[in-house]
Amino acid sequence: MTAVVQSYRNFRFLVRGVRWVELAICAFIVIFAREVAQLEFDREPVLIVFGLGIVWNTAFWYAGRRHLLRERGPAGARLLVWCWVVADVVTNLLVILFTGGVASPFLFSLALPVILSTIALGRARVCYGVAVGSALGVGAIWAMQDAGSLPVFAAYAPVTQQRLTTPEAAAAILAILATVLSLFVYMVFRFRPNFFVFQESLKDGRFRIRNFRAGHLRELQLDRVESVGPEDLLEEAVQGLTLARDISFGAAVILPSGSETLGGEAGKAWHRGLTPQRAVSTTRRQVIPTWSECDTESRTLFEQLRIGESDDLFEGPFTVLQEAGLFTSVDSADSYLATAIGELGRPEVLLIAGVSHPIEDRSAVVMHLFHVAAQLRPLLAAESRMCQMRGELSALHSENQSLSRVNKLQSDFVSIASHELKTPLTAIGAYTDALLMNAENSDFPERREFLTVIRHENDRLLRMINRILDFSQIEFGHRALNRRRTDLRSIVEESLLTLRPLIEEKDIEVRIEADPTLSEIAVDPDLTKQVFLNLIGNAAKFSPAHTSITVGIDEEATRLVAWVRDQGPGIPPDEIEHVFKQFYRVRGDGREVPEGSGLGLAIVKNILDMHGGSIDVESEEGEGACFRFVLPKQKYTNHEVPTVLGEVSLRPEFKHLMSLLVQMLADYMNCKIVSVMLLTADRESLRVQVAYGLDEEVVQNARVEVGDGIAGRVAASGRPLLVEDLRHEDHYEGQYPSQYETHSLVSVPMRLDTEVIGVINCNNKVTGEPFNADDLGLLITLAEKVTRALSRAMRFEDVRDELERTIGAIEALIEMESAEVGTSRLAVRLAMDLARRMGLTRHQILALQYACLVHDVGMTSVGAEIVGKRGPLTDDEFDRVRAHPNQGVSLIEPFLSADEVDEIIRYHHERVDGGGYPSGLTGEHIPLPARILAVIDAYDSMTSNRPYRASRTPAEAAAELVTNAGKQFDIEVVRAFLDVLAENAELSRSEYLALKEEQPWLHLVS
Amino acid sequence: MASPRILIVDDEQTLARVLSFAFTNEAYRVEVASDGIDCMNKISTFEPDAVLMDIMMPKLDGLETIRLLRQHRLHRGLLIVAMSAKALPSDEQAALDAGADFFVKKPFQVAKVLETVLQRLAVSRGSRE
Repeated sequence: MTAVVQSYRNFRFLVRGVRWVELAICAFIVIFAREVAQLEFDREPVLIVFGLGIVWNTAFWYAGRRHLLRERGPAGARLLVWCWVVADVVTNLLVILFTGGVASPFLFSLALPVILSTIALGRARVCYGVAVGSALGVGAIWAMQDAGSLPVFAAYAPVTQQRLTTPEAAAAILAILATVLSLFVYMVFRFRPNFFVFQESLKDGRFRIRNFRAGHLRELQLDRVESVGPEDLLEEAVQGLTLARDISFGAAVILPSGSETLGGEAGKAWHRGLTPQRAVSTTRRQVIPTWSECDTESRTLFEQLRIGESDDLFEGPFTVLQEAGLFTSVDSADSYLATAIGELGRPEVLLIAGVSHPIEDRSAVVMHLFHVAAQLRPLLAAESRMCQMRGELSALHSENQSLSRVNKLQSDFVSIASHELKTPLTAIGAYTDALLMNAENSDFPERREFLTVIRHENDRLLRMINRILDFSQIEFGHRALNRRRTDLRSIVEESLLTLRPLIEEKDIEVRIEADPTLSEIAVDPDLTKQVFLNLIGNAAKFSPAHTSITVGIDEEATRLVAWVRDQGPGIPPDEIEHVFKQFYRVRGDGREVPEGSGLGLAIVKNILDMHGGSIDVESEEGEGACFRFVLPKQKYTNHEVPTVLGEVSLRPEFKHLMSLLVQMLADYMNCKIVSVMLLTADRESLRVQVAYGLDEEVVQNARVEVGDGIAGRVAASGRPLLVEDLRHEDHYEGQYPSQYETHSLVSVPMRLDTEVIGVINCNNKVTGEPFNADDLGLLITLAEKVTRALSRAMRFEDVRDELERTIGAIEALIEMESAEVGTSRLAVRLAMDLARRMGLTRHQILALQYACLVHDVGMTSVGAEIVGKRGPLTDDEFDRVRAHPNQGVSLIEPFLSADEVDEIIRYHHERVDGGGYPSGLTGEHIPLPARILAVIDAYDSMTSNRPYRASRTPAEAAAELVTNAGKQFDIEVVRAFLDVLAENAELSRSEYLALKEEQPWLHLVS
Repeated sequence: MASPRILIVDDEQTLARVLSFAFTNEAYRVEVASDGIDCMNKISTFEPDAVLMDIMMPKLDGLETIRLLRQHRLHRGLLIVAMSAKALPSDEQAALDAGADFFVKKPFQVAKVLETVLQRLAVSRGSRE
């Protein structure tokens, strides 16, 4: 269907656009050729066939040109060429039919260049040339055939071999001429395709340049400082358009892009009209508003133009354009003809020709319009390629510049650095010479002075070398940024520590104006320290004695702004722009220049550049200088999970978590003091991040070097430590702070994967007893859970959610401990003894210990009214109780890993006979630690006071257990538990034996 | 013969000090200037026989100073020894073009500088007499 529509369009165009004059000329040439050969018309059919063939060919030349020029795609062009070839073949077959089979080979040889050239170029002018050539050739052959000199190829033979009769010679020469001409035309257009394009405008040299084919165009354009843009082209096109006789107004319009919602770019129009006297007015320019700003009428017009094929011809009264606001009434014409240039269905440029009635030759106007459009098309394409190339060129240019800048920088660097190095060397050399010259001279009072100078210059040289090495490392990109969360304030304090000698020597007061809640920033701490060192050092160096320096840090939404202000002599205005240059040293006027490398500020600038920051300086001479720099905040990405928790745990949102954490640890460890120490960023010392039961002041100052003290040793070795009595320790120096009442403590490393990240310390057991191995074991378990929960909570993404979950878990744990729904300490001890007796592994024992403490955390969600209820529970209430093991697991999930603890908690209410909850497991399917916990839990709840049940004696409880053994409880576990009870003196010997008497199976099993 | 006078122009005080020491030891009369402007101020009162001129100096650099000196009729016969740590052939040529009689690369041997100045002074004195 599309093909049919397309064919119709082509046909419509053919009828409109074919130059009948040219066809007539072709026919005339045929006849002329025959006349030249002095032959008669005696074969009418041949002539008719030829005439038809020529018409057919010419028609396809036009259509083919259009297709190829519009870049309809290779398929369309191929189709056309094939049609053409078929047409030629048919024509030739007809000729063969009428002439007795002689003419076709030569005809084909004439048609070939036409086909080739059109395929290669699709140029109209080629077609004209070849058409003329073909016509001449056809006439000549015809003449020869009539002359009877057959076959056709023999026509060439006489030229070299024998004398010809006059008609024969004339025909041969004509045929040769025709071939040569068509070949010549083909060659010209093959290699100079655009040579005749825009011939009319070949008035100034500038235009000619643009009309060479693309390759030439590029070269020439590149040489030009400013090339023509598409706008210039359109302006030229408008000029070209108005050259035609009937066109009184020409315009090129860049249609506004975008849609109603998208906005897009504003359109532009160039137009010029002709005065009644045909004097050309100057080209005017007009801006068309963006699509969204266009009024409805122009939109409708543009829409209409947009939808149409880009080849289509639009016609209408000129007033339509004026109403759409395209042109003012100054330019007037009766009607307009327009065509669009651009991709199919997406025209970008509109060429408009205004005509005034009456028109002499409408088809000429149409042709001219399409002609200009056809010529404009490749030029616009070339222009856009040019734009692209200009972009690439300028990118190359700037790259080149930066390369040569680096090059210059390096060579400058070498030359200046060598000079700066030679200066102290010269002094050293000269003083040594002077000393040598007087080596024999015993009376040489300057000896000491000279040696001092040498020493001094030597130091200076060394400093200079260090600076240069620093600088070259940074400047030439050898130093990679090592960003970490950094507290700028502490960086400033560290810098001041380093600079203290200089500051104290000149009695300079340094004030720090920093927000105490300054957030941490991801920078390279070493390099940032270098920045402060250089800036504060400079300030101190240039400041007179007894003045002050202010160091300030301000926080803004996306960046930190820091400044260093001094009360020194300031920087002269003409020197300010140079201060950040390498080796530049502010000289000022008539004052002594402090010694320096001239690299300090250059290094500062480089470091800030690396961080994406910037620096500037304000100074008035005599009023001091203020260096102000900016460091952009950088967001942590997910993969940068810090292994050093100390860096993040200070963030405000973690403070609450951390304080809850130590409270929980204190509750569970049953001790008065807990401190969590985390490794600092340099991993060289431990700092107390949060503590329970210690004075704030102690917390602030507590800082231990790794390897020193008990915590330091634990961090260094990675092994937990139990100290029963400090006074027996080798390292004890009697300096322990007074708040440590007992002399026993436990200290356990916090490990993330295998790396130690901190230490948890516990002191002062509530009972006043020393810590024992079980306490150590519990703390090890807790430390592991705590570290895991912390590191999870600090994984930055969704930090809030995770944090809330963790905090919720800790709060539940604390609540449970304080509500005393958990297992009593005694029961925990019994549980561990029982576990040992049952042969559990150490790992399982620790898990059981932890589970004993936390297993009923789910009860906190059941609600106090149910837990404390006297009398039977309703079904609904009972369901909630039944759910508590699973709920407990999910509640403290941040403090569990998918390990045994999980299982123990989940299944500790199962019964060996399968009547338990939540899953109804039986016998051996219930994990052994869970079976143990079930017994312990039952015993503990029976022996302790519960609202719903008066406490029983251990013997009564044990009897109950024995009664239910094999039903609710595991027989083996109950049996072992009786032994444990007896061992721990919970049961007297007689009670123990009585229980065994009562239940014969106990004898049997044992 | 009066002891020869020499003006040492260098912004590096330590270097000026040791040079002045060395020349004083050889019975020269020595004056030190810290830069080109200082040199121009001192030259008319001190009237030296030779100037040891550093090239890289603040305010008025060595090359400019030498040019200024050579413009003055009185100082056309003055012995000027340029010294610089920037010692590429082009630097040396620039100093000689500016009007220096001799170029000494830093770091130098004091003895050689002394010898050079001594010889040059002897030659110029000989030619003057």
